[in-house]
Amino acid sequence: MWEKLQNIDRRWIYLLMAIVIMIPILKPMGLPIKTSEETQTVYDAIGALKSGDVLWIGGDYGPSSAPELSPMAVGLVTQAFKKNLKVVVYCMWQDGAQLMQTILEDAGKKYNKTEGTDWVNLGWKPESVIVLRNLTDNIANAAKTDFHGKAIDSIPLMQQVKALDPKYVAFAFDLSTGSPGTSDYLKYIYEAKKIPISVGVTAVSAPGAMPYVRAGQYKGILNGMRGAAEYELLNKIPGPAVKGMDAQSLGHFMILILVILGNIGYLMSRKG
Amino acid sequence: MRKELPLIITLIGGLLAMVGKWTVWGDHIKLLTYTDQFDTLVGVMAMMVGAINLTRIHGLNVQRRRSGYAFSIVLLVAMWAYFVLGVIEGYQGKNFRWIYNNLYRNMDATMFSMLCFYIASAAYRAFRIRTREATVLLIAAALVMLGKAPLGETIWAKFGDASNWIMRIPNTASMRGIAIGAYLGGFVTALRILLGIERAHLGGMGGSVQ
Repeated sequence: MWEKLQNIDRRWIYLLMAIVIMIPILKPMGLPIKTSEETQTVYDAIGALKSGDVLWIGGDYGPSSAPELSPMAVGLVTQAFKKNLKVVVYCMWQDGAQLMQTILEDAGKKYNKTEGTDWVNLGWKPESVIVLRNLTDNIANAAKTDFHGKAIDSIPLMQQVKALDPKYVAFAFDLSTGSPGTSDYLKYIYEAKKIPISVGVTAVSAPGAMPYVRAGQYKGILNGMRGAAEYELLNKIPGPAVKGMDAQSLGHFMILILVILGNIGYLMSRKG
Repeated sequence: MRKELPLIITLIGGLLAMVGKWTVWGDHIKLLTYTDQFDTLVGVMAMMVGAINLTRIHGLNVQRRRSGYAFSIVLLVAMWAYFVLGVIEGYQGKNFRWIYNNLYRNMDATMFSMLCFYIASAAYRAFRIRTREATVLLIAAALVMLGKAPLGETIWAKFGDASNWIMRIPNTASMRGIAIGAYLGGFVTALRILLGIERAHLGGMGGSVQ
């Protein structure tokens, strides 16, 4: 019997997991979500910017991590548009350019913000890390065109934002799945240009980013779906991340129960 | 010369990058701009080599009717058709974006979300309290999981505090140790490659010259 407890057929595990995750997605439980200090720091840092300031967003992720990072992007753009900030997006991941464009277009419609005047998506460029470094000197030379292939010089907002430099950009936020991503913003934007930065990462990347948060190099952090849900609630736009937290809760519990069962089986069979 | 030439190129490339980054003169003449352009070219060429190699391998699969060759057909058609569409329309094109938003995005998300099932199964099999270290790891993992899940905090509010403490203190301390070790290792390896002591990247058997 104890042996059996250690070797549950994986197909049962998959089935149980699917059921446990699907139920709260179909019928959300609405569990309370407490805001962490790190998320509050991000919200306050962006909230402290003045109307007309430029918020730079790095969309360095793809569809695989979109459930965690896209809600953060929606929250960022919402907070920025509500505060009348100007938004410039640059993506070191090719997929990020498409995802961010859709998010910006939707939020632009909702908050009556115009592409080119209130926000610009520079899109993705080959050898994106090198381009990021060169953006700190001159955006028009480094990026040349925006997402649509329109010349940077002809875009009204970009005539005011000449470089990724503290003179033009008040705050930078990188949404990142891995590399290229947060470490490049740390090196080239925070350390070299002294622009305050913050990051939103997948839960699996958060432990690696925490030392920089504790050192004050990142102004807070949005940590995985939990961070995204907290940020959605702070912006008063509960959405997919808040819904996902119920599923994540039950999923975590399911894994813990399985681990406990496996260990009971292991300990009892050793005694026997 | 087959061995010496790559070593000379490596040395010159490394020195150019160092001069460009660390000297006033290198910064003044924007030396890194030139090396950046070369880097971009090499990157694009590497991508082309990858695409050609993929076509060759899967082309052979189809030609020889190897097991699963139907998947190779799907791969080749999808890769080249999407490439051609991208060249014609650009990556901001209507059809290109439609395919991206309605097919690629969902398939990519599906692939990643399947990890949830594998992780559940793997955690169940791997997390056994065989040693003291494994027990500490298990307790820390359980606390972080409970703290990150609203259900855990609903059961006992202190789970959230425990999870945050683990992330802020022991995690930060250990990650700093790992990072310092990794960066020192990376620096030493870079220096060995630059000086031609480390030669494993040139292929062949010999790892390094002592």
